[in-house]
Amino acid sequence: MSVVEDRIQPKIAPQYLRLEDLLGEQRSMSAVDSFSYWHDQAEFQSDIYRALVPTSVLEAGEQYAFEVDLDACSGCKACVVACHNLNELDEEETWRKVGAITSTKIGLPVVQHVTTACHHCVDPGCLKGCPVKAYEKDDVTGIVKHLDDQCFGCKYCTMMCPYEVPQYSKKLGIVRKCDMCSQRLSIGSAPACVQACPNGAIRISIVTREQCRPTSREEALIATAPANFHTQPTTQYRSVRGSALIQVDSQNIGLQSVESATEWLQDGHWPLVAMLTLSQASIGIWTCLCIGTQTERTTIAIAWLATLLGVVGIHAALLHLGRPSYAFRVFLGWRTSWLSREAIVLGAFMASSVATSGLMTLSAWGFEAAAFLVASGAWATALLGWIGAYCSAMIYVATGRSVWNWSRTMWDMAWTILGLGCLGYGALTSLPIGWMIVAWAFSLLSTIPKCIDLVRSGYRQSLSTFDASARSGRLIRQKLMPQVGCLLGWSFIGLLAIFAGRNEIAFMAAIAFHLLHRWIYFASCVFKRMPGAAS
Amino acid sequence: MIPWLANTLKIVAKAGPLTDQLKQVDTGRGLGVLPIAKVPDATANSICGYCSTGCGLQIHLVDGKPVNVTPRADYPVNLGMACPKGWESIRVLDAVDRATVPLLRDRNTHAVREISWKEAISHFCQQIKEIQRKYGEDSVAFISTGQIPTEEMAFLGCLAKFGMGIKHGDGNTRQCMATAAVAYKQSFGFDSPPFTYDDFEQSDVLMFVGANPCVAHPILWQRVLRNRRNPAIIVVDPRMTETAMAATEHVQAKPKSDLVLLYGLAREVDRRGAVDWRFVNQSTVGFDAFRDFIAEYTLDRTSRETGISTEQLNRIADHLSTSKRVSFWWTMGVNQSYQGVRTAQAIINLALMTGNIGRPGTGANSITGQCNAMGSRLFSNTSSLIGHHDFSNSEHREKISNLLEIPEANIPTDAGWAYDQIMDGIDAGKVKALWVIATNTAHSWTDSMRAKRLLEKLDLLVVQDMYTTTETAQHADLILPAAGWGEKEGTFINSERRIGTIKRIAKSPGQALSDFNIFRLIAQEWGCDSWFAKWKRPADVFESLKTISEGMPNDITGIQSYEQLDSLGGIQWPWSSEDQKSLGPDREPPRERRLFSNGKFFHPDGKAKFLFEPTRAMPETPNEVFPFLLLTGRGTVSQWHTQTRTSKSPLLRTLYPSDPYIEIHPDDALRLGIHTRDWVLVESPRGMARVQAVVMSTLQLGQVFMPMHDHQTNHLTLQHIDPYSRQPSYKNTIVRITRESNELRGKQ
Repeated sequence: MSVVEDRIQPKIAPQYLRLEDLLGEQRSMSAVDSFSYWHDQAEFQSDIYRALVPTSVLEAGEQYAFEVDLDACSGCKACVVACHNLNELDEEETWRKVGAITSTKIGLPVVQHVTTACHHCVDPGCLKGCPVKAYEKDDVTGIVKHLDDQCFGCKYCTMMCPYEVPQYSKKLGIVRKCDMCSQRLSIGSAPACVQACPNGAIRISIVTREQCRPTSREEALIATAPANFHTQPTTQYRSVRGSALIQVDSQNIGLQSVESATEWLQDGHWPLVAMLTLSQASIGIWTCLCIGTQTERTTIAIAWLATLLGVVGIHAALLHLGRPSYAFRVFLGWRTSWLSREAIVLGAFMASSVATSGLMTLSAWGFEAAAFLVASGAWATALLGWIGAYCSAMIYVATGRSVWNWSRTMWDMAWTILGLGCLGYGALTSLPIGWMIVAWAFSLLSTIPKCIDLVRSGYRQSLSTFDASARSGRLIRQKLMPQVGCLLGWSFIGLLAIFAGRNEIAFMAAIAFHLLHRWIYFASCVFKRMPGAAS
Repeated sequence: MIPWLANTLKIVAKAGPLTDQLKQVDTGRGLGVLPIAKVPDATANSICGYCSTGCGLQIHLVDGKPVNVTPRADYPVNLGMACPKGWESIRVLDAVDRATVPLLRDRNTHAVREISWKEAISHFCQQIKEIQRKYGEDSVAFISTGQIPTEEMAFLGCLAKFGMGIKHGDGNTRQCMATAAVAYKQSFGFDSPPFTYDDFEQSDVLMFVGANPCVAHPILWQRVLRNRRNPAIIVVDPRMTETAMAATEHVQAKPKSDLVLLYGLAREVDRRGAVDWRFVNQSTVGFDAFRDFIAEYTLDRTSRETGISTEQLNRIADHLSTSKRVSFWWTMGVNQSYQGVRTAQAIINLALMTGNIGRPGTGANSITGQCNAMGSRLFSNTSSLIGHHDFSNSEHREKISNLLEIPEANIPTDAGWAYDQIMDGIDAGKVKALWVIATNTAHSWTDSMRAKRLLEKLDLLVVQDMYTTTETAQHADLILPAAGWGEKEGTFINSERRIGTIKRIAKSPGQALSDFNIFRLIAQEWGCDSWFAKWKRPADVFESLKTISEGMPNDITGIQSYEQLDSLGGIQWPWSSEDQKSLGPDREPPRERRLFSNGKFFHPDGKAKFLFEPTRAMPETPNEVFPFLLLTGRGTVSQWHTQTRTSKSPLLRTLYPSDPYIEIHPDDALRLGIHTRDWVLVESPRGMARVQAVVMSTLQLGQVFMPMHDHQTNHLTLQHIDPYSRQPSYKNTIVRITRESNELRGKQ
């Protein structure tokens, strides 16, 4: 062994290692010193994706659209990460998502990933719904852009878009969405997702708006997705191998996505719940006031109660806004947005409510001129209230979600107004017990649409058809039974209070009842979702 | 008037601070349009540190700090593309559970305290010496990794085996590539994947066996889709995977029937007269015996045992027989099998008998798993003597002794134990101390409940890792905080034998040190630093590896420096100084090269061997108690192995299901009353997992699938191995499934 060791004489003697040196080395950056440089290729990657962006000029009636080759999409999600990284989005924010359609049908094995972003619709729901005109559809390119500084964070577009494309950021107080990388496209560069797809599955193509018009009410971008007729999305999904995926009647062949196979609890929107319930109580009370006498002391108190409820309720809506200081912009979208209309009319209602209550007070103090206006004031307030409530209802009807359809929402809200109105009126007057019980029954009537959902969910639904009502009922059964129990509790307390002659307690129980009922209305809303929307 | 009013009152704001946040600028310098907040003042090139595809990335730097990553457009591997892991590679360096100081756990109280590096290293060396003294040479082992640069692997292997006298050392590459390495070595005479990625684009027929590149190697799938020859794509997989969806032929064979399938196909190819006799005679041995052997794998038998119709078998045999360029590709479906080596060789046999090797678009090609699995196979000094030499060969020992200036007496005469033997050694009380570097035994080893018990049984468990929270680190007595990918330099070798460089582009947190420097500190404390004094930087080790490789099939003496590797977009081995000389000293090596174009293999006679063996049954098959067969594999592109890194990116976390799941066939689900997203209990004879069900008709009846990323998956698997490669078989476990009762659900 010593022979071997003699033969091997290390040429370099070891030096004592000092930890500080090693740590110092760890904090220097070899790459920056010795390897970093700018890439000076003039046309970065352009040869790869030149074929993926249009070179011809758009003509009238045409616009840009995403085109997706589903056969080439292998579900790697590089598009999602590139969208995030190249657009400097928030930590979990991505404007492109990838969902998957799978099959439960024997003999039809499917695993199809679906990349999806904004569909830059011909008739964008977000734009129509926006109360502050924070959306623009570009005249030339057809790209639907969101004006971030104009947005005040009402989130209505997140309900109006069937594809859940606009995403709200709590941190920023606004929503943001895909703009097809307009800044890149404007200089002939490809959008981030187009650049990043290893398989060239995403491209920008030119479509005519005519071609995006759906031929039936069932037509959808892809199996399990929401129907096209709502907004006329422009994205073109192509597939040769899995043509069933993009056929109209593909709902019935056992295809499912995570979004379609399971129920998802939605946001309950407490500020909106408060706003709707309290303003509707106010409207109901004013309705009763029109019918009853208007100059007695108790009725003046009732008017002020109604005014208080209305003012508090309408201001509660400010809590819903991401940037409430810009609430004054709310009227801008009145031509298309039910939210603008609601704000304008309920604003007028509130003013009228305050004015009429004032007039009633004045007339009680002996101002004859005021008394002359009281009756018409009360009628005007109630009328404005009902119009405002109609606008409120239409906000949700306009989303196209079937559990929020016209008849269900109108029914629900009308009985809410009548129930709360009568109970509120009765809270301060001594309405006969019979009337109070009728009012209590009005309140219960508002829950009939949700009761229908619960009953329907009792029958085992076949998976092949999409029944939003039954699925909403199933969602309630799965996740909201404590709330339903509470609801029953409040209504029971209300009834007890009526029998005990404590009408004010009955009214407060009714307020609690309707707050919770409205919360369930939001939280249990089931609608058709785009694959990827839940990711 | 009106616009003015609108502006003053901010009624319509088309611009402002929120709009500015997303403003982009055209850098005009090859990076395209970038967010204004992240316009780099420099970029640095590196190789991705996840899988073996080996994508070139450019790291965007602002004031010397990494701010963004984009794929390199000029790198021959990925051509401007990357998968989500690569795009997010710098994000995972910044995590709260990074190991920043050495940590010592008190054996009795389990209290963990921070200690100094000095204390840590001296504790480490003292303890190991003590255990070696007390229990003898078998008592200490190390488990290395395919995730660190070749230079660090070489240093570790030499330090541990030559310097510290640690007899047993293996890598997690045992779990991924051992089978391919042994198959190649036996068949070709050297562990030599013959292909280059261009072969994906040049084939007429691509046959994937037990591979799902759409999910496991998405950037290689990109190369498949770039093929303009309208290729037939044959995918052998028991599941209808994404890759199978895209195939022209999905061969949905029964699990582990691939060996029968390949033998049956070989017989059919032979029957069609498609044997390339010139090639077989000149370049191979053993074909006649092979021909006799496959005679019993008739079409009917093959069809019966694989569940594949004779029509489909005939179609595939036709493809293999009539096409000019057939390439075969395999991954873990073959490697992680108890008869994996013979299965890989059955693929090699098909390529050899049809002469589909050494030409563009051909080859029997193993797609590697980890970013530097090949570095580990060649230079980690574990299963073979450094540089793919033989421990038992005295000439080799002498050669290495001379080249590394290390006494020959310190070079062991055998490779020591493999991973499974080390685990069994712990069980038998022989191994008392284990040093785990950048891998996660407690999660990834088969029968992981047992693995965890074994780790607790040790007198000393040292974990050298980036994170303190890995399943293995939770059992550690000593945690040595290591710098990760991006915080150190060195080289990786990818699937197509391309050597590329990684760079230090980020500062490591706290006192974390590169594994390289940790090894230097240990060498110093141990007292063997004089042998390693020449290795001051990874580049010094690379120079040593070059000299070691001289004259070997993986000769890299023609590579000049890291700078050259960087500017050329990596160089594939072999690239000897002779190669460079014959090309001309100033010319660049070709960007894509494949092996065996001359029909010469690495056995002494220059011929490849036909190797084969009768098929064997699985050690356990579904029965009345455990009626399902559990398959495992990669879940999504955004997840890497045991997720120590990928789970640290908030973005990647949004890209895979947050709950663990099991895929189950619709008929089985119906029978058990299970619906998608129901919680179920999965039990095997060894352990249990609680996961959500996903009902999918992409599986076959009686088979279920769980992704390997969830730590519960290996609670179920059985430790059984391929006898030649000693690689564990992960994809055949018997389980039973029960719907979780509501009562149980309530307790969660």
